[in-house]
Amino acid sequence: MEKGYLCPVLHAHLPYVRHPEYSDSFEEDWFFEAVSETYLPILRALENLTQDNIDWRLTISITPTLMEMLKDDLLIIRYIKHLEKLTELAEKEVHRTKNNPHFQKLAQMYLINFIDLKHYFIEIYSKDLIQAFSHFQELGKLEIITCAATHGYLPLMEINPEAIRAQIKIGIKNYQKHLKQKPRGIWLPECGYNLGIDSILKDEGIQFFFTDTHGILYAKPRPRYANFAPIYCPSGVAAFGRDLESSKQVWSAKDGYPGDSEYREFYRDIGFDLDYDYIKPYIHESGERINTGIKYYRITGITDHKEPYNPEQAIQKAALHAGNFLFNREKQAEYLYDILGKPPIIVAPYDAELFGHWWFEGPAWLEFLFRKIHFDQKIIKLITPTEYLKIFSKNQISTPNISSWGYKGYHEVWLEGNNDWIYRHLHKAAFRMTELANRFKNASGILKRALNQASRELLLAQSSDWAFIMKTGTVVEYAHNRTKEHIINFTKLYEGCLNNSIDEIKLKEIEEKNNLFSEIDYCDFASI
Amino acid sequence: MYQYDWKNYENIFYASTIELPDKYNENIFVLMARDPYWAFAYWETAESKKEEIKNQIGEDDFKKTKLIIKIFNGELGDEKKLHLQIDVSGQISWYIQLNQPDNKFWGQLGWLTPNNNFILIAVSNCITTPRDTFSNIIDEEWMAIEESYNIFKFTGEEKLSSPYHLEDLRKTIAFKLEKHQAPFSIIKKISQ
Repeated sequence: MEKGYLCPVLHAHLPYVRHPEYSDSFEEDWFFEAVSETYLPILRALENLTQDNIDWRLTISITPTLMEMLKDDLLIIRYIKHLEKLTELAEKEVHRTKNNPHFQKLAQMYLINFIDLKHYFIEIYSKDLIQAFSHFQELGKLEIITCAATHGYLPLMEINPEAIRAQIKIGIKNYQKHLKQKPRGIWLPECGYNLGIDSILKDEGIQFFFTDTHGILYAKPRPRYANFAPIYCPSGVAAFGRDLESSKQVWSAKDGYPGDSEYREFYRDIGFDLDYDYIKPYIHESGERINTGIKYYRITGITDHKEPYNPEQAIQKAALHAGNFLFNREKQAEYLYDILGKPPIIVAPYDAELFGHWWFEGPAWLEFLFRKIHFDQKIIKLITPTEYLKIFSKNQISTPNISSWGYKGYHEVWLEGNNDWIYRHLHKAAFRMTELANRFKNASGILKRALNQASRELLLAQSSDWAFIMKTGTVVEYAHNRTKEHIINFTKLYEGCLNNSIDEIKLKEIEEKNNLFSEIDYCDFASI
Repeated sequence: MYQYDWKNYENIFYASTIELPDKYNENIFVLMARDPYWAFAYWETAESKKEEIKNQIGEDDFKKTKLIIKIFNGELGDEKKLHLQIDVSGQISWYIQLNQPDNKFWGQLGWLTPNNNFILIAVSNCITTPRDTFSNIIDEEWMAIEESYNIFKFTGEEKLSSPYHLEDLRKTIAFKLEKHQAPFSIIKKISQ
């Protein structure tokens, strides 16, 4: 009999980046890279496991913005072009490296990989990765959960409860649009929990969410099982807390597995390494060098000198690390089982984009881990939150602590000197949106379109990503512009609705540009 | 959001000249809890309110007024415990050191006249600061299993008092992993 449960959770999120106004948008590359390096490799790993009859379980949150991007025709067309361009580059690389067998082997690996990606994307998955993930949910192996509509950081919307509710409601509706069912669970953006959010989740039919470790450890009253069992909020919604150790082993680029010397070095990309004239057709059209995804070196060590990448050795290391991770989880479960008197649940959440994008071997590690859990032992069992709650329906009632999984554990990442200026504008716009929704209850025609677009603009402005980028200090200009653009679009629409002076040409323009959530209903912002 | 590899791309983003308004010409005072110890506050005073007060107390006295925020400890409207009073003249926002986790706070924004009259401009929302440690409240039906908390105390500290210590724990565990040891088996030995 198993002595503990492992609940791996991947949080797949990108902000809504779609720029039809530019022929070559660097920001869209984030999406293309994530599809090529993370989503498709993870799908293929899950496919391999399923074909081999491995009994795996995984929970994944696919944010509504990402779902919309995965279904967007423009982005799909651009992604295929992106892959074709990379295939062309890889072909050139096979030729260029003909005198260096080691590098040529790597170039061939990339060439095959790009051809495979295109094949899988178009032929196997019919350009519909949501359907591909959904297939595993139908098999009962994958639990897909939702997220707030645009990944708005909910605790900092405290004075706009209608906006919190709208983020959650619109997220759920979007999930239903794409997956034809209601989600049972939600990933609160950045694990940001504030008192009362669980009551809104309850109203909207959500059964569970996740917090960082201290969200449960510091819960009131003190949880009997620390963070190794969920608690029920007084609202009845279950809260699962992150396990520290399993997170750390994978999470840290410095101390965790991804920093191993055998793994592929992210920062040595031919977009920066090769002769400018040679690489120019494959970098940004402005002439700025960018990553191409073709990287020939391994991490090697904390040194500028990098040794060539060896895929076989790297994969062996991924298998070793999967074994080490499992060994530690077994010891952890045995220890906890003895003192708790019941099997602990070890919740291990990660940003999905860590797997494959940063940690090239991450999807292989995940596949090895699931295989080893299936074949090599009987102490640990994989589980989803829904399955756990079915087995253990009686849990302690306690109120989670206000918390996030950001640096220092609270709200400071999204509320500090570089980004605090946004909140007076975001709060004002949210108040105004509720004012509009209360005032125009049954709008139709152009007014309804304007109200719905105002909702989209507000939601986009609320994405936690912009505050995060401002905090990290890189590409701040883009985050500033996105915040300002959406607030100004919103304000123009607000004034147009109130003054009966909607600029239809401008409305059409921004409807086409910021075109997410076709199902949106501005009434979701109304006061209850 | 996972931090993407943006560091090389500073030059690609497109500059914009659009700007947001400096103010919305309203009386508002908003509090936002940042962590167990600090809150952020922003406010605005409407021009019409300023004119009204000027007319009430005279231009000379108005020039000598100070813009004040008062922070009360307790439920919204409960003025029994004045926690802090800060002169924020000339400012539009402020980080306030509350230093009281798991407490409720609310505030008033107003002008303090030379005669020490406080003229209220706006009342804030009420916030709750997060806790920074374990709760002392124990549910008798669900007595906490102290041993399950031992692993969080294995940092050389008497007690875990904040996520900083969780970070210490993370470092401790990472160190052990480097030595290829299983941390939980070690903890078990020590706790025994």
